[in-house]
Amino acid sequence: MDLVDNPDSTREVGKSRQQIEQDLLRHVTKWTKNDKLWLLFLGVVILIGVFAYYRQLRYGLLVTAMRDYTSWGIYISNFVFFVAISLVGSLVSSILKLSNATWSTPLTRISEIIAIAAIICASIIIIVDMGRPDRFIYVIIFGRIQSPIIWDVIIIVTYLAISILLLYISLIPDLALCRDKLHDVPRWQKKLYEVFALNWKGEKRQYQIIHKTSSILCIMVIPVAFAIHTVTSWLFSTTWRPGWDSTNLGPYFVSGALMAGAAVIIIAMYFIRNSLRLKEYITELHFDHMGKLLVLLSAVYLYFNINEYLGPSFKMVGVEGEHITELFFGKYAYMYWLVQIFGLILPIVALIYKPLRAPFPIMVISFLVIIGAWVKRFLIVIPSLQHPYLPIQDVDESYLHYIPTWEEWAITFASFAGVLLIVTLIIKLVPVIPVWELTDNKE
Amino acid sequence: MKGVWKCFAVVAGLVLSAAIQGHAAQQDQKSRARLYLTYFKYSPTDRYLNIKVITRKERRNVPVEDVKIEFYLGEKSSAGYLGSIMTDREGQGSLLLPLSFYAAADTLLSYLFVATLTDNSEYLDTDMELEIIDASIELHGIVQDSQRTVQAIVRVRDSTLALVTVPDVPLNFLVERPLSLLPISDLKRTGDKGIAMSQFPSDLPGDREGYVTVVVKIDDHDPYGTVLQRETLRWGIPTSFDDKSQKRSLWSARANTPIPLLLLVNGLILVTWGIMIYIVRELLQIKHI
Repeated sequence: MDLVDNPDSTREVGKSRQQIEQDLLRHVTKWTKNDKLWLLFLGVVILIGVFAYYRQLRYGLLVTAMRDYTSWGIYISNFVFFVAISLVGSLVSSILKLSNATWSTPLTRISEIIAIAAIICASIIIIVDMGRPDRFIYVIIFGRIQSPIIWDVIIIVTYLAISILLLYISLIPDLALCRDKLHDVPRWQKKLYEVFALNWKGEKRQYQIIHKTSSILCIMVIPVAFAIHTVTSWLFSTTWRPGWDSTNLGPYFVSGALMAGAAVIIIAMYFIRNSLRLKEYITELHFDHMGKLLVLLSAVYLYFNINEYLGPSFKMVGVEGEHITELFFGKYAYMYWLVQIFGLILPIVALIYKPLRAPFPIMVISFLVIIGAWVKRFLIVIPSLQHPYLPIQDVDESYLHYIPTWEEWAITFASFAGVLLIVTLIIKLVPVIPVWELTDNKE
Repeated sequence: MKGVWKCFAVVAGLVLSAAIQGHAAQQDQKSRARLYLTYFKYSPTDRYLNIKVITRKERRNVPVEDVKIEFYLGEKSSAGYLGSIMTDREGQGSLLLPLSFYAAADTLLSYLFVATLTDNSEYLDTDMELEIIDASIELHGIVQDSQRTVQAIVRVRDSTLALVTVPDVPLNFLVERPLSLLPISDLKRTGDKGIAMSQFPSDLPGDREGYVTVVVKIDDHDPYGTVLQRETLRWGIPTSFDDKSQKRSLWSARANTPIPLLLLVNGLILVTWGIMIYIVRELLQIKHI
């Protein structure tokens, strides 16, 4: 069978099966100079972060700017950000798939890889935030099931397991393809394909199992994905601080996460498309569709933003009022308004216009959305902590400000590098676009 | 040949003088640290040496962090070596006296402890000596005419190593509370027979069964150091504590989860992970097709 069977993909790609396989397996075998330089760069960033973490372990959390007031710094902002972008996996490989958006097929694997990388780094960053990481095991052994922290631990582990399964199931036929077609790879890589391909032969019964299990997971991942970010929001809403005492926080977090996830996938599409020369597979049509989706998700997030701030800013009661004043007019105002304008209003307004949904402009806009999303998490965490309901008498001046130290920045950048490293390594091991779904999934 | 030796002697002299000057200059650059050594005897088999290291910086006392302090009994030799500690951020550290100390302790009239700071790149070599006479406290609870009294007898060893009572030793009478020690009387002193007494209050809350732990303490005394003796007596008022924290609730500090929550969370975990195990089982079947 030389021609691809999937009518959608043949129409879009217009290539034979061999050509598709050749195109999509090309990047797995080749390690270019740029790939190596990229890995070296990520390695250096991670090493600096490891050194900073060594200092944190050696001297304690004193090397950070976290004190009694701001006890959650950029580590927790970063954790919330990573949890948010991990929702991209459920957005593309589940919500779009279940809504029969077949155009999203080439994007499923990218989104699943990003989801796994983000959730792994979110888990690591939580342990980094602990003053005594050696005591993490006590959270499991002596955990109180009524604590939202335990709910978060449970849900993160569950979501990671589901995300790995989702990625793995769709990988099995492609691993078999790698096993059969790739001969210029190291022995360990060949062995890896053999073991994880599970003796795949493309039998009808094997396809049936893949379709059945992935359908179950696609449905199951949605409540789990919603739960993971809702539970993260409960970590805040169950803590007695202004700005967090809100019933809106769950949907507010989830809608923000889906928006950030869509922006991340657009950025990933742009760079993967260009660096792996996949312009015929990730087309302008994909950017166009993702742009429309980003407008929709941004509008939903705008709605929850208005809900989040309108009530407290109308009442301006006590510490809540101080918190709102600081966000709207105080020392965090420039950050707050930049986030609202460039990270929220801009994508809604700009991406309505088709020319701005072309690959480069939409990538730039998505980049702004992502920066806005990260700063937004900073604004959710830090200003609230600086306005406790029960302030300390004669509080130390340093407690009233929070400027992250170089160690915190180094670890934060290392966590970003960690996400990119995991994504890069997986992409160098397996086809980044599901080959079998483009060629023979109609069987 | 003589000239060569002369030359060599001059060069050697210069090198040696430069080295001595260099060493002296290095010593001059070092700061002076002060050691404060104290002795704690919590029980006959539980004794500590505490050290605090400070230095003067900008006319202020500043704790010296991360320096190694070695401790000796008697003299600075391997035979008298007791152990070493690194000072913490407060410039402090504690050494639990090792078994070797107890082996020597019974044969000594007094203990001469030496703490030393040596071979440090930032601080001059310094040491501090502390001579301690081992004092012991015997504690009794006496009830007479419904009056409860705590009696303490302080003893030390005389020149024949026999225990003798000591007069005029200041004693604190305290009881253990959850976070600290509560004094039950003013400072007392032992009389001629080495005995001090304190009345025990009649309205002191104890645990559920009325037990309280009485502590008699010689506090930072020269030459006895700090010495404590404890005794648990059933002299308190039995007190029942508020056990709200023991009940099942969301806000309970203990692991008493409400049953519905327990069922819900565990049910969700079982269902979700059950489905995942089913999926893994299905995937493994692919291998056998």
